[in-house]
Amino acid sequence: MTDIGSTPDMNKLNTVAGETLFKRNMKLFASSKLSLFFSAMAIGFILMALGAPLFAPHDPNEADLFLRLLPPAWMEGGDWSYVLGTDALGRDVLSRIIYGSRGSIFIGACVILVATTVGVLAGLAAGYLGGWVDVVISRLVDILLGFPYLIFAIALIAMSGPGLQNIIFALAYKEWVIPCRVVRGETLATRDVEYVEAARAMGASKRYIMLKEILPNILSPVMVVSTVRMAHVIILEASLSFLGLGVQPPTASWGSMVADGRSYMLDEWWLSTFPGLAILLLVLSINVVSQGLRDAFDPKFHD
Amino acid sequence: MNIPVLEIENLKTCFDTRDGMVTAVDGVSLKVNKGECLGIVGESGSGKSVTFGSVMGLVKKPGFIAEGSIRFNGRELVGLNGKEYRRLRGKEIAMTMQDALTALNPAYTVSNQIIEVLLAHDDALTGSRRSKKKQARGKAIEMMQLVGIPAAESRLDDYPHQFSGGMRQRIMIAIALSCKPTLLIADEPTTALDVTIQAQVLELIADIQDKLVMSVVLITHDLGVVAEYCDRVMVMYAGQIVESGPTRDVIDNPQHPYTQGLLNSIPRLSDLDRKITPIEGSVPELIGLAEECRFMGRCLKATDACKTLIEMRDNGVDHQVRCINAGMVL
Repeated sequence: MTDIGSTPDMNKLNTVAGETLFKRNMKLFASSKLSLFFSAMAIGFILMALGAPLFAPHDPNEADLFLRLLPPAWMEGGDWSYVLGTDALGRDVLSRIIYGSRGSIFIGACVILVATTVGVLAGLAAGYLGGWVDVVISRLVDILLGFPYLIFAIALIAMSGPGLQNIIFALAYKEWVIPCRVVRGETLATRDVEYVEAARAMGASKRYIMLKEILPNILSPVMVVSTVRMAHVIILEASLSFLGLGVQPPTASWGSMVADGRSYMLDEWWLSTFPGLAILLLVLSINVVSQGLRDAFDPKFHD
Repeated sequence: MNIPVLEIENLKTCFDTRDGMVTAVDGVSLKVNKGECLGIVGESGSGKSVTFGSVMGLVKKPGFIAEGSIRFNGRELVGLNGKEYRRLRGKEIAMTMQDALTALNPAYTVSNQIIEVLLAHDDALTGSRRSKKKQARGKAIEMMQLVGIPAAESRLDDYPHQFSGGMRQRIMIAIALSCKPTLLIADEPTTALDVTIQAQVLELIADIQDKLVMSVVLITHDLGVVAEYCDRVMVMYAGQIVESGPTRDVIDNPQHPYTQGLLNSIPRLSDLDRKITPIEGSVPELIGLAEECRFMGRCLKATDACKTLIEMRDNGVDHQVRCINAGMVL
């Protein structure tokens, strides 16, 4: 092979015939035990959210005032049918955590989906078309970045009122800025590459070049960024629920469970601790997965 | 058979930069006839690529065509709108890029990239999208065989990084030729290749040129390549054509000191004792040039008379030179 070395990342990798770089990178990702463990954990959370009725031992909203503030099962006075104890209204904490995962994951996924779609398209347009399109989009991004995230979301929800849709839009409203910036930069770096020029010379339209020539080549960083941001969005959603602006009672949500348990913190610590732990573990697993993806997809980490 | 396919008249392409207006191509006029191979020679920055970038309508901002006309098969290209241009590109005028190693999209298989071009331009494909795809695939295999890729059928679904540099250059040519264009602009098709592969690729282009009666513009800085494959040659310097004529004439009897300098700087195996004489200095900056010979600063024969506007002048049949000393024995 006449290896001239102008594209080291492509040539250096020993690929098997018919194997794309993407597949190769996924293999690299799967070769890390840590990544695999936390991927399993993240998938576990997703399954838990999808099959909540199967896993939850009780109805999450069923209150029984005779059983209020039961401690976790292994403590004195605990009951094994309420493994993680009950809250001030006698609702099962474990069931509420299981159902609460739905809000966090669903909202996180929706926000990232909306934000990534909008951000990728806007970033491609800004980076490839340039000119006034770039000026308009980039200034809009700058303006949105000037607002503190949480305060911005609170303001939007205060105007539109709480509710699933409103929360998703309040978060996505600013979230698209992040993938947009990443994609704009990557597009600027890719737009003058020879194969894009070659496509133009072969009569490809702007839309074709943006979506078919550039986009597939910049998907890796987009994937990494959206997983990192998913963790952020989940924390933000929990913060909104903590402040009472997120998922509305009686629907269980981790953020509001932490908030409700706050006043019992000294004696009935399990009310805030377990939902808090759930947030921690979910965010941790997503962060480790995104770290693993970055290591696998960024050529700088290849030896 | 002197039917002009491409006629460029007094083309001026400028770049509006922060430092001022750069005239990268300044008054270039040329003609490419049907079935002919025209060589464009010149060092880096002499305006070769920009000239043909202008033909393809691929000059990007801040560049623009300031003056002149480009006619392709009698049709004016300057001012053509995007959609009409797109229909022309790839189908009637094809261009291969300088760097074959990065000119194929790493995200797609080779078959995908050839088929995409065929689907966009080839009117001979009929039927549903699926049957079109199938026909295009057959043509893609044909093209790969034409450019001499062994086991074309099994290699069709490989990714670009699985091919060597020479192979990738051939695939580029296959893509460029897939719609049987009238004019092929080959922008330094061999710069990144070693000499044996270089010869193979050029033979291939010459071969296909004969088969398809296609016109070829070969942009290069290798006069050896020009001597071997081109019917006519044009030497460019600082955005202007300084010498043009039939290849034999220009190589055997170069008139412009720049052409002479280029020829003197080629090492010859037959004459190893001969010293190579490089041309000292480099191409002048193309901002605010005075009306004088642009090569003056590097020319050994420059006189005060060179400080005027110098036009192309005839020097024998079809041989033109932009030098007032041409023809004189100094």
